[in-house]
Amino acid sequence: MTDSNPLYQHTVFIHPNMLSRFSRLFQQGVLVQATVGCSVHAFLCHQIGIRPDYLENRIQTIFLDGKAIDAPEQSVIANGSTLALSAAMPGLVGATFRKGGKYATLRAGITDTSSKIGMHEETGCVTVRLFNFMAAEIGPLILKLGIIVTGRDILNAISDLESTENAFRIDAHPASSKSPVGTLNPHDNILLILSPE
Amino acid sequence: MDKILRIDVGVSGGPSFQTDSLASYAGLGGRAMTSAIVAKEVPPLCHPLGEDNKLVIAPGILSGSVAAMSGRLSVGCKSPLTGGIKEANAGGQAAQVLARLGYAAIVLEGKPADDTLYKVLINKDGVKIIPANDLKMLGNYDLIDKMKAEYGDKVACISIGPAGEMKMAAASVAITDMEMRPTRHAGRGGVGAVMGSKNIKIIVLDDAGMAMRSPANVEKFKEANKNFVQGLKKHPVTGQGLPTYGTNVLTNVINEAGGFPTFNFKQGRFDGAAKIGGEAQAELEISRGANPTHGCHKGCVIRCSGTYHDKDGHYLTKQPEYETVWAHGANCAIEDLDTIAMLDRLDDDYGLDTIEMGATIGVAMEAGIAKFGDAEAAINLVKEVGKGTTLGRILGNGAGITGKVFGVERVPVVKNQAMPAYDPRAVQGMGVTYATTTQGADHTAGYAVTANILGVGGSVNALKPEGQVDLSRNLQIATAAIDATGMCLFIAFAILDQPDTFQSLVDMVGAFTGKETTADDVTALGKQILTWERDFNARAGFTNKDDRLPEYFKKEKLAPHNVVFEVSDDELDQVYNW
Ligand code: SF4
Repeated sequence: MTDSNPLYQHTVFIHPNMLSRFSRLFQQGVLVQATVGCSVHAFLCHQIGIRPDYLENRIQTIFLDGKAIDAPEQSVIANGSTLALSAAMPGLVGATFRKGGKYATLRAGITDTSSKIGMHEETGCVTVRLFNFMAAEIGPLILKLGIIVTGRDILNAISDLESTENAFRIDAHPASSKSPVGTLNPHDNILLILSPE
Repeated sequence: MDKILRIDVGVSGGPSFQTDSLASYAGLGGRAMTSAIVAKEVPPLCHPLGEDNKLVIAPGILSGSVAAMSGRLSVGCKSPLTGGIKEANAGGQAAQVLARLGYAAIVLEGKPADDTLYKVLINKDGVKIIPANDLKMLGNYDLIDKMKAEYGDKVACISIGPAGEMKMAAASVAITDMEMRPTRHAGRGGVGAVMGSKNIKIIVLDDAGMAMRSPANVEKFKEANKNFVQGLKKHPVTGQGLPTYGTNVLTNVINEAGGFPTFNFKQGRFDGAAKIGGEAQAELEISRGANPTHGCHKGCVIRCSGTYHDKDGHYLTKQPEYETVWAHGANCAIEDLDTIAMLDRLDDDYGLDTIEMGATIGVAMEAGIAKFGDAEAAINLVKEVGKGTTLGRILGNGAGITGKVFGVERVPVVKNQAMPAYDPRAVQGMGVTYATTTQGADHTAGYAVTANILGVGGSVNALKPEGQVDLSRNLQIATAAIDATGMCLFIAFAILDQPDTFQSLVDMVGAFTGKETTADDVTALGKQILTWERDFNARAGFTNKDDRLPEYFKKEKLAPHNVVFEVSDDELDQVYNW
């Protein structure tokens, strides 16, 4: 064990050109250690670093624990929450899930209306899912903070890669014959983080 | 487009045809044309496979012109699946070619004198009806290969596979795409069975030597079309989301919302969703040399249809649509894209509605005929349908019949037609449309999200529960109107968000017809279509008791949100109250 954080056993740094290999993980959901008890808006803009105009215009649909939300400033992320983001979706149903959309009433039964304002901020974990264009556009920002995945997730993503040299660094070491990324324990939790270019 | 081709298959000595003027049908196109003819000429109590039913095939008002997106073809009749009126529509090349040949509709009528199968050839020189018993029980792919060898690859075809010949209630009518593959289907309601009951296997359309249809006001039309295309291209859904991922981009999102019916509508989330979603599908297609961005007809600028290659990089089928991925995937707990693509290919080849078949296999799995998640068993069940075995004939007649035969209570149908890929307990407004549309459970019936721009039926208070009923009504009206133009419904996203794009569409219709057109005219047309359809259904014996979801949607809670369908019967009865 090389890190003292109880949530993961190793840190793996990946080269930015490996990013697209992890987009499936973003669709399934990745764990992010963050300050919780804040609004969705604060989480996305202040912690992840998303521009407010991007949140306003590009992110059209937000689900918090599977419920569509209309006001990111008011919905509060709790420890263990799942947050899913999507660009504009086709179809009537796509339109109904848009935040504050004209058709929000069509999904009234599954809209998040609970008010958790007043919860206190603390460190916790959030599962983030990024659909469609969000994986490529927001994924790098989240990877800068680091995501917690399993060794198996990484092994699956690189299974067809001939060489991992220069693509990864494990803990302090470059991925070499001494610490090949292929030898990660599938059951270990790993903090996957983007290395600076 | 100034004539109607009527083919009477009941004449002794073989089918004969005549060409009629439009008379009272002048100015109608697409769904307006098919529903007008069916409502006026088909006795509502007739047997759907009998002498008095008619199959009406109509291009849209703008089809055959250079108007972008105008290649949808409507197919209408009394449905063998629902027993009510039916309009199913599809893309592909046929609408454009038929319109350029000058036909506003083809009507197949009468009862065949014997079991001879026919093909119909329509070109600039006229119409030929030719005996074609050599085509009997051919799948659509082999059938189209034969036509290609005979007529070249520039023609467009409208055909049925074995399912249509066997008059199955899930049988579709296939339309060839730009590569002359039978991939676009008027799928719903068993329209293929009605074509089969007329013993017409295929209609080959050849527009060589015919000109594009020209608008009344060329300059105004050009300008409006240009603005319309620009509007589609700049919108994130029509300019980016659909071309990149196709309709299957919805899988992950609807799954996240808990509205993705899984295990035959038992739960609203599928663990394997990310494996079959549009993101994974597009990635796989590109890695195999296929193309996720592809138009189903010339003039489509959105290009949401793609191609799907097998593991060896050979063409297998079109890119499966969201509805297909759900029906053959999550609904049957199958999480393998290659299996889903194979099922799509088989459905297209036999000529079957993918939604009805996926829902039917889900019911069969619930009955224990196969295990949920068993990909091989699902493929074998569809093959049974293609072969026409006893089991196959039960399955090929849809989820309702299958549920009855095997004693299953959880059968997701309205008016006997299977529900598409949105659970009405999670998206209650969709449930209102499923319940009340004239068509049987149908997601496209209330698809055109244009209502607020049109101002149809006044403004809606979205915060009141009854807003769901108001919205559903308005959406159904707007959709019916778009279905009449021949425009693909996917334009709806751009015209919802961009009033100038909507205005371009209205301008384009006006410039083409030479008649001043307003949003009120569009609304009136949509209401007229629904009135014809509703009236037909009433005369066929439908009452408000048929405008209901199956009981279990009100009783069985849907995980993960544990919701039931809560819109009351009284509220449902208000939809047609205008
Ligand atoms: S958007 Fe898709 S369905 Fe519509 S016409 Fe284009 S390819 Fe066909």
